[in-house]
Amino acid sequence: MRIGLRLRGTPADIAALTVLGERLPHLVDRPWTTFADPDGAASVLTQDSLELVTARAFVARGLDMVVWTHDGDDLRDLRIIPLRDGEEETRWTAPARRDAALLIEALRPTRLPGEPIVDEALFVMDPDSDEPHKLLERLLLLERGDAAVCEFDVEVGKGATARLFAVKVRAPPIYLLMRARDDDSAPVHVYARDGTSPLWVAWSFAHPLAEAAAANLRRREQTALVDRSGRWLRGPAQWRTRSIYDALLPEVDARAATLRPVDGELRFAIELRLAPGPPGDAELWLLDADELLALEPLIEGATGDELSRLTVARLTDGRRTRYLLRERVRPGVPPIAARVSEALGVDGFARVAGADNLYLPSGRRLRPMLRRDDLRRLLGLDEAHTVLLVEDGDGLAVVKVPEVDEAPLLRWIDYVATDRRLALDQLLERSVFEFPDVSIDWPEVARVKPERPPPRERGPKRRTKRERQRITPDVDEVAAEEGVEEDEGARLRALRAEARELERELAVGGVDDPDPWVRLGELKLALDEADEGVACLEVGLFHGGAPYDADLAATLRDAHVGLLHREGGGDLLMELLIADRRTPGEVAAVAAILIERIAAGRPPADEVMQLALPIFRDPRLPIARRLAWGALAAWHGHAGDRLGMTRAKEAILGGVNERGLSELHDLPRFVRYALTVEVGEDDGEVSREKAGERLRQGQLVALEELWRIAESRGLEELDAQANYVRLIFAVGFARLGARSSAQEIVAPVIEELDVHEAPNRALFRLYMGRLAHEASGGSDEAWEAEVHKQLDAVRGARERKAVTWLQRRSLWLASDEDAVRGRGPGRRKGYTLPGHVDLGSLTETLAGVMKPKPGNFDYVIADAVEACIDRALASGSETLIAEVLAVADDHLHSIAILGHRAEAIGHCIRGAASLGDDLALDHLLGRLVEVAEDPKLGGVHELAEAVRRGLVALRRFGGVEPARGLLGALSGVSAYTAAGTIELQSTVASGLVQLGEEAVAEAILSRLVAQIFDGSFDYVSRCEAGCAVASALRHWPNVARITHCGRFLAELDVFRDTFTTNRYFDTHKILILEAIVDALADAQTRHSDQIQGFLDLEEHALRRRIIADWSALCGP
Amino acid sequence: MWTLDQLEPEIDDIRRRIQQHRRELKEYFVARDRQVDLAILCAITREPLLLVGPPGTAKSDLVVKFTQSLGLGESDYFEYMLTKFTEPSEILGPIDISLLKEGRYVRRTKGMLPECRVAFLDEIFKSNSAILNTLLTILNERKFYQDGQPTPVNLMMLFAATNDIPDQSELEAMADRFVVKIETKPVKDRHFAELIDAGIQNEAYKASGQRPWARGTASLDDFLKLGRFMDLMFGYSSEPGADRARWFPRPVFAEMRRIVRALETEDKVFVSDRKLVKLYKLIRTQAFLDHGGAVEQGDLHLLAYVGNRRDELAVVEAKVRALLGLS
Repeated sequence: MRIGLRLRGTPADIAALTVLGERLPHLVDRPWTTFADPDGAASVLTQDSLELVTARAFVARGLDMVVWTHDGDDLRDLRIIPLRDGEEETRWTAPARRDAALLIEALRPTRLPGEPIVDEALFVMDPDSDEPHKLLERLLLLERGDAAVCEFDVEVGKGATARLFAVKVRAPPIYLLMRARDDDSAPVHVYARDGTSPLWVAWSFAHPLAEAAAANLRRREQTALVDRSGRWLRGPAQWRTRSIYDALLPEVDARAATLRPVDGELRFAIELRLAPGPPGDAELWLLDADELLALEPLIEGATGDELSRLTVARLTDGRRTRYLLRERVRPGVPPIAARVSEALGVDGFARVAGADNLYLPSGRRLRPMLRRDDLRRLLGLDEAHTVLLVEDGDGLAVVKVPEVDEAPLLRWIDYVATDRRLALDQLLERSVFEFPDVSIDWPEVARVKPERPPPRERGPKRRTKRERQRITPDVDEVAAEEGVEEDEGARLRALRAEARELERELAVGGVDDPDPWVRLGELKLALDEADEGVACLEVGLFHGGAPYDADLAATLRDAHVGLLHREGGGDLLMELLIADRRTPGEVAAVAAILIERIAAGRPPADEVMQLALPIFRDPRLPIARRLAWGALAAWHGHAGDRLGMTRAKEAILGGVNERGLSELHDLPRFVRYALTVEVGEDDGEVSREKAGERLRQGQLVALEELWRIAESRGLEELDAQANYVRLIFAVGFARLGARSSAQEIVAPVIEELDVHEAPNRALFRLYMGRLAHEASGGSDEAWEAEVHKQLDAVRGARERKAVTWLQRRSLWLASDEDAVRGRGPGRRKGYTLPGHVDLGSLTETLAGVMKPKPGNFDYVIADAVEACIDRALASGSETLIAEVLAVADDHLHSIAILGHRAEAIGHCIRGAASLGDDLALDHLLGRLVEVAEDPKLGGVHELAEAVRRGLVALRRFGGVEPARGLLGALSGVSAYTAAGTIELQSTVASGLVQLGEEAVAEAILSRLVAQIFDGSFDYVSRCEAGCAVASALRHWPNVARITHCGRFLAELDVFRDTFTTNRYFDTHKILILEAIVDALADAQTRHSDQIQGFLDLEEHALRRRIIADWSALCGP
Repeated sequence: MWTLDQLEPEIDDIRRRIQQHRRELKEYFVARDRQVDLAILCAITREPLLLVGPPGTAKSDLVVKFTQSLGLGESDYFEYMLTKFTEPSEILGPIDISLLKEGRYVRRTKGMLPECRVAFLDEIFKSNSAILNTLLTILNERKFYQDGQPTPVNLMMLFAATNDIPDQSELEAMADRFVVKIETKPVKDRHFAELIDAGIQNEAYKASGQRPWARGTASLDDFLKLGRFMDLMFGYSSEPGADRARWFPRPVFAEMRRIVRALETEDKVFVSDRKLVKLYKLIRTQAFLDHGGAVEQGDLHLLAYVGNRRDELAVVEAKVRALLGLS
């Protein structure tokens, strides 16, 4: 009589086995025997040590314990007698017996209903059978090339092993699973598993103790295959898998044929003809004498500048005289071609894009399109200065014009005051027909060498310089004509010169000596530049410190009131204070009046001040912070109100901390103009209007230079890459306002648009859309719509994929405007400070967020630090800032991801810099450098961003030396990847430029550029590094930008890639080209750098003065 | 009605005539073999067939020629393009005014859907719910209601066409009635010259009033007899599974099950219980028509046409062919 546990093949078995394992743990690793019901899913599990007493105890716990016996020795008839009351004895005929070394190996898997979906399946078969071949073929038919194959040895008992061939398939096709399971004849066994368990169970079966079995296998570092009967095959934990393709030996049943090149080239005669084309602006007109005279109405109505762009040459073909009228098109100047054509009544000739000296009738194009070399050879473009294709009743004629002396039309015009028509005609004829003779080379006519033009004896005279000057007299002369005395003019000039000198001196920023400001303010007032004058006087008053100088305050008040065109009586103050709304000028006037009255010892009544003070404490105040502080400091100083002074300090400094100084209210206007002049350009007098344009002109000249380099490298026709070069430059020109240049560059692309493949066509259109967007200054929404429209027009998933590949990576084509600028936030905020958090509980809130707990991810903590420091800075309370910093600093180590830790440190640096706490700053900067040097730092993007933010803060709060120190420490740091190092070092170099260390920055940047081109990078890293350097170049002066960008352009070919899209375009070349053109055509960043530099110094000076004023009343 | 004893002696001849008929009909089309195969099969089993494709892909032409090849006259054929404004009277016939005066609601069905043998309804999914409900009754029960009384229809074959299969729940019932659906794609890219030749020939036939396809080898009776024979075979034994045991070998049956399961699981193709039964019937009939014996693995290619939505059709066809190793 033997004792056993009967299992039913149901989920209840798991509970029974768990009880068994808990009660008899020593038996789990002993040998067990299983008898399987031949007609059902049940089985009896038996072990020699099981006793009746134990079995009865198990019965009491609900286990189905049985006593089993058999007749004879062969176990063919098994009697199973349940120990539970009321259950009947059953008999199994010829049950399958299986002995196993462990309990888990003895269990019979239970059948799962239906066809379960599994993560992974393993098809196991004999490697020598046909099954592997059939299965692999079937998988390939089902496009499942992701399957992997492996061969491994399994233990088959008594130390013997067998070699099995297996195919591992993720998300396996249900068809193949069912086929392997159902088809008994096919020797393919299928096993399945979920997740990464080392236990593979026959598909659609489950092991009752799967987790325990898996744990056992992990301990032994084994894998097991369990078939439906429960038999185990153990194998190694790791199998060496190969791709399904590695297991194939492809064959092709085809005859081989090899083609060899043979001599001889077939040529086909194709007739070149003119076809309708896009209307283009004409540049040339070939005219008879009568037609030329038709210009008269145009000459009468045109300006001198327009006429100066027209030139005329007289030509002959031996039979008749013709006149070649040409418009010299200038970048940025609208052409007058349409008016000329209208006046003449004939269409002119437009230049063929891509061919410098070939002109076609306007609105016509060549068909078919030929390569430029073929065109040059066919039409003899190299043999003539200008070639025109003329179309008349006899067909096409190629007209060649040698280089001729084309004289400006202006030279041949006499303006006469006569109504005698005859005399007028004579004059006109004389002026028109006295051109030097040159020859015109008509078809079939030998080329005639042009004669040297005879000296002109008669003809219209050019106006002398003196005459021109009389037409546009300068201001001084006008003043003289208006009766201003000569000595007054000299005085004004002297004042202006002195003002300019002071402006240059003050524009460097941070000048806290009141005298030059006051002097400049007085000069401005004297020069009738009152708005700038009051700004300078405000600065002077502010830096003079409280209590304020009464005379200066009176001058300021008068100036402000004067700007309002009002009388400054006592009623004005009350009138302004009780008004529903006040303009910025009126608020400034209130401040000036208050300061003046307090300085003069006539302070307003307390009730009046209760109305006035809230105005100046408002952080959104639309006047200069200095003036606001002046009003507050004057009053609180006068009242001796320390608390009020402290609140005022916190209000003003909080506003400054939160928003910085305003370019509109805190930046004197002259500074903007002074800073537009690049170093080295200020040798002459520059008018303010012109100065604003000089930077942009500089950018334009630089871009034209770069375009010349690009053209000299050769831009083939019908070449997609060349078109990308054209389009990118065109966008650059459009951005700088040179729309005509952009159109000219892009014309060849439009002409051959239909020739290119669909993805390139779509991308060309996108770039053209970008061009129009830049030229028109369209809105972000319009650009979004344009991108979607163009993308929607791309049919075919593959083509669309190719288009979006570049579009999403492109600096300009990305639909998200943040991405276009490349300065987007990157990810959404992980933490927002709850509205209910007040200043008192700020530190507590931050400490709670920074504690390690579920949901407090590193990026959330970094964002929380930012939010809390922002709130503390906005409060203006140094105590609170210090407390928040202390909490943040204590928990910085809990941010495990170093990039996010760097972000948090960057925010802390802002706080520490505002306190002027050098110790804390050194500590934080040291931690930032530690992060940078940590080998575990992955990407440097967050670090670079933290460095950028930290530098901005240090500059704002006067920490220039710590900033230098930080950059110095980082200049030697290498990131994990080479491209990361380049990005970090580019940031360092940009920071140094902004700190005025241009020589050091240039050295770093040159080294980075050299690294990019020394061949040590892979393609992707090189492109990323190139883009990082190009982005940094925005902060550089023009001259340096041209040098570096020129090198990038010259060595553009090294920016290769191996993406599948390069059958259409070279991604990296396009991205680099975009980056350098974007950097070159960016007139804004450097200017902003300079403006910001001034504001930073001013903010620092302002902070010092406020602290000094506050300390004077409240003590240090 | 014919009995099994009457049909058995001539069933092989009928089979061969229909096969010949099928071959001949294919001659008049370019790359429409599968559509013709399915039209013949659906005609035998009296199952509706849905042709899915853009205009100008010979859908209507296929149905017309097939109808004429059976020797059916104008009155046996009804064709109508449905729109959402189509009213039941346009396909079932107008209300008889004189009878209406007597208080009876009777339609005059002469020349309309209830009296025709073959019907072709274009843009079937654009019709409104009144039409759809009427059609469902006709397809399910082969009857419609006259004055509240169910009246049998003569309809033997229904072909429908659509440019798209809308993904709307109210249309699912109608879509499910079409057990097989087949795409008719333009063939001009692959058969440019053949298409023009066949089209010009067709125009010539039309101009000269010739209808060579109308001399079909098989007659309407042949189709009805084969259909009747199959019905009798299915009911030959009252023992469940007897037909399957004899005519559907276990490995092939298991293969069918695997394919259906794979389509349901991996491609989310819904195969309703009703459709599964009808598929069995269609496959059996197809096998008998083609080779007169038990179902073979190749006969399962009919499963390629069980897709429900427009985007499923091509996917299912490719999948089934791959699973059967026919690619």
